[in-house]
Amino acid sequence: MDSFESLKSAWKDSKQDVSADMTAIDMQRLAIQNHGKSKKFHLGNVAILTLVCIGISLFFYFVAPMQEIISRLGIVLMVGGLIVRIIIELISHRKADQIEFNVDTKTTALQASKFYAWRKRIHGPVTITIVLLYSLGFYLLTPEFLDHLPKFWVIVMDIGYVGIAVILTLVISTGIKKEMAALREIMDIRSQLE
Amino acid sequence: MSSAKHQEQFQHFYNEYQAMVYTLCLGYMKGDKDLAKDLTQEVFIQVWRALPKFRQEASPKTWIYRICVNTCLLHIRNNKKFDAQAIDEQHANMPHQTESRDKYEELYRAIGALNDVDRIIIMLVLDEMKYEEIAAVTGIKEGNLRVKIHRIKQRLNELMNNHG
Repeated sequence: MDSFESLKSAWKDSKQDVSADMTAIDMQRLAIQNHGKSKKFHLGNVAILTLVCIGISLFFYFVAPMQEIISRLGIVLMVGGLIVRIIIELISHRKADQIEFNVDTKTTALQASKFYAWRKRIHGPVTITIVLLYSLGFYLLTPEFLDHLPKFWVIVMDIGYVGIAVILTLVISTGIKKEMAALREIMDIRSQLE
Repeated sequence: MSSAKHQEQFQHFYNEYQAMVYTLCLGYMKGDKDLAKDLTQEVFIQVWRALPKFRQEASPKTWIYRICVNTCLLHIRNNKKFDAQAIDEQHANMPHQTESRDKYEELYRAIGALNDVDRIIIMLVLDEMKYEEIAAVTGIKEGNLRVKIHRIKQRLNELMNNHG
C-alpha cells in the first residue's frame, strides 16, 4: 500500500477511537465561565491601574498638596502616564477581541500580525516613554519633598525608586521579547500560507 | 441571537463536530491526548464566542474547521517552545505497545514532522475535505493548494520510507 494511503487508513482508524470527554452542557458551562474569566482578567489590570491612579491623585490632593509648579508638573506626568497606560490597556483589549477566529486562516493570521505589530509598538517606544515621563515626574517632586521630609528619607525614596525602575525595565523588556517572538511566529505562519 | 437559540446551536455543534475537532487537535498536537483535550476546549470556547456572528454564509462544518484551524495555529504561538519540545521528548520515550499504537505513532510522527500549516492542510486532506473546502478554510487559492498538497504528500512518503 502507498505510504500516504496507509496514513489515511490510520487516520480513519484513529477517528473511531474518539469518545466525547464532556457533555455539551458541561462544555457550554466551561465556555461561559472562561469568557467571564478572560474579561475579568483584562478588566482587573485596568482596575488596578485605575486604583493606583486615583490613590496618587487623592494623596496629592488631600494629604500632600504640592505648592511648587515643578512639583505639580511632576504629578501631571505621573498621573497622566497612568491614564495613558489605562487607555492603552482598554484599546489593546478591544483590538484583541477583534481578531476573528471564524474567518479563513489567511485573514486571521493577518489580523493577528497587525495586533502583535501594534503591541510591539506599544510595548516598545510608547511604554518606555510613559515610564521615563513617570520617573521624571517622580523626581520632580524631590525638591518639595525636601522642604517637608528629612533628607535621609527623601534619598531613600529616590534610591528605592531606582530599584523599582530596574524591575519595571526588566518586566517591559520581557514583554517586548514575547511580543516580538509572537510577531515573528505569526509572520512565519503567514509565509507558510503563501 | 436569543440566549436559548445560542445554547441550542452550541450544543448541536458540539455534539455534531466534537469528534472532528478533537481528531484534528490530536493530530496537531502529535498525538498528545491531554494537550488535544485542552485545545478542543479552547476551540469550543471560541465557537461559543463567535456563534452570534454565525450567518450561515459558510457551511457549519467549514465554519467550525476555520475556528479549529485558527485556534490551533494561534494557540501554538503562545506555547510553541514548550509544546514542541515536550511532545518530541514524549515521542522519543514512548514505548512500543501494540500494533495499533504503532500505527498511530507512525501517523503522528509523520505529520508531526511537517510545519504547522502543512500539518493542518494534510489533516484536512486526510479528513477527505474537498480542495475548495480546504481553500475556504485556509484562504489559500485552490491552484496553489493543489501544488502544496502534492509537495506535502511527497514529503510524507519520503518521511515514511526513510523511517520504515
